[in-house]
Amino acid sequence: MTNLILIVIGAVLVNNFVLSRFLGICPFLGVSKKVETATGMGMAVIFVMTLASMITWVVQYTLLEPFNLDYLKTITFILVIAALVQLVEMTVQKIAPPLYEALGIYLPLITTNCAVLGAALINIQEKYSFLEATVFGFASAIGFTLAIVIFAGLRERIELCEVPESMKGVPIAFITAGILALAFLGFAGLVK
Amino acid sequence: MSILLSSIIIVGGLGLLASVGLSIASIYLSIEVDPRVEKVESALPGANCGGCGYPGCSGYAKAVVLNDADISLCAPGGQGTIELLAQIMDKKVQLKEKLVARVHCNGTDANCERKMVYEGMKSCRAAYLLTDSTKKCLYGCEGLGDCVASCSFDAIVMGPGRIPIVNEAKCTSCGKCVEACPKNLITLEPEKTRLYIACSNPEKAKAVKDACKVGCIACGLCEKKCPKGAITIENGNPVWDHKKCDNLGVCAAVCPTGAIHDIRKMIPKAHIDPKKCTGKGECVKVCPVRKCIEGEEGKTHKVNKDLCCGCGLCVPVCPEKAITLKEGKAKLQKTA
Repeated sequence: MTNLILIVIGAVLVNNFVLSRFLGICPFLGVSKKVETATGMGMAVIFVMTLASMITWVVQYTLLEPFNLDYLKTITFILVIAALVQLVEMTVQKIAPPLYEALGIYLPLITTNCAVLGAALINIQEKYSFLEATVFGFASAIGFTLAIVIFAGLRERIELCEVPESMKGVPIAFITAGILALAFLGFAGLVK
Repeated sequence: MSILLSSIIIVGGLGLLASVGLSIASIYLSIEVDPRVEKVESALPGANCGGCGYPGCSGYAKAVVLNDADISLCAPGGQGTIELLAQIMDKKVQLKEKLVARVHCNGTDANCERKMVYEGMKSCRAAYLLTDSTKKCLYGCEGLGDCVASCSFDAIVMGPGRIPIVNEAKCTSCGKCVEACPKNLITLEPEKTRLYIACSNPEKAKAVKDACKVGCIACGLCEKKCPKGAITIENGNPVWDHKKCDNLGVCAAVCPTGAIHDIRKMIPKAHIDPKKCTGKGECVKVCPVRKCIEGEEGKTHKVNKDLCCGCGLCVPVCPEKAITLKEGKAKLQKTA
């Protein structure tokens, strides 16, 4: 049990996917203009990442390892994740059209989101069990959501501030992201 | 089993599984799109000008079908598009008057002097922000062509006196130039009204006269003499009641400063003298309107009078001096 709690804290705070591993920067900067859409994106990532961690774990240990196809795991995982995202996209479009419109291009972009693939590969690298892998995937996605929602909140406020002309828009967002990453550096060493 | 075969089977099998799964899911999760959206979108002109207030033509098509938006908002499409939309949406055809952009200033370099030499950015807005007005008249056209640049339909060209000229046949009344003009000199008016005031200066007569030769001094003659009572003076300039105006042209005739323009007379058309023309083609090169001047090189050229905007750019370039500007015929252009 302690093991799982450590994995959660490690994935959410210490080794946050966006702010310390620097994975999944594209949606982090792209969909973080409004808290609402950022939360939606976070939910989509939580769903996809947890499911992807589970399925890729099963694929790794039932198909790839027994047949000594470990070297194919990257391409296989991409295939599995791509199919999964397609499924999520269709489901979201059917169930929540406003969310679908709000996420726009970024939903299909989860397909090539390095955060999702990263989580799947780290699971294998760290030799996690099925339960650990699932928890890690879920916690990493929570970490992503936390980062993107905090960032979206900051950007909403910056929008109302007087920013120098040359810094308006994306430049100030990059600086904010850097400072946020520095703040998360404070968690370093919390979990070994 | 060789590693080659097993890798092909496993990765291929996974791909097959995913594709079958997705195709089954697409049946259960399919979404019905209203086929009318596509029809409406194809009926729209596709200019994506945003004149309707929606993000592009596809946005307007969705609004028409799903949110029951007004079908008469598409300015570039005109009456034809409204009829098509009415057919698709099963609605009544609304008659819409064609509007055209009109420039309410005639302060050409000859009529209204510049009080400074402006060497800055070639944009009316920039000049306006920096200087308020580079002309003696505070309300005069800067002549740097923000409206020309804003027009997606090539309907505005800069005339020789640095006052823009609107080609009414091409104008779709999208309203982009109205927004572009920093001095609010352009408005949309019904095409059928052939008279308009070419001045926006609301100041007293003396101030106007000092600034410009052809400014409106708000003398009120047009208001008094109009047989239909269609004109009232508001804020130092005449305002038309377009329902009453019958295009009699009395106002333009009595105006002491010539500030009221009668489009039938004011827009001249270029005319090429067939005896003098040698077909060098210099006029074709400078003409801003496509296919306005016709004729092959070496043969006599002809001006398409319907397209000519009367800008007069072709007059000085003709080596044979064969081109003259003639007053336009007093007839109404056909409304599309």
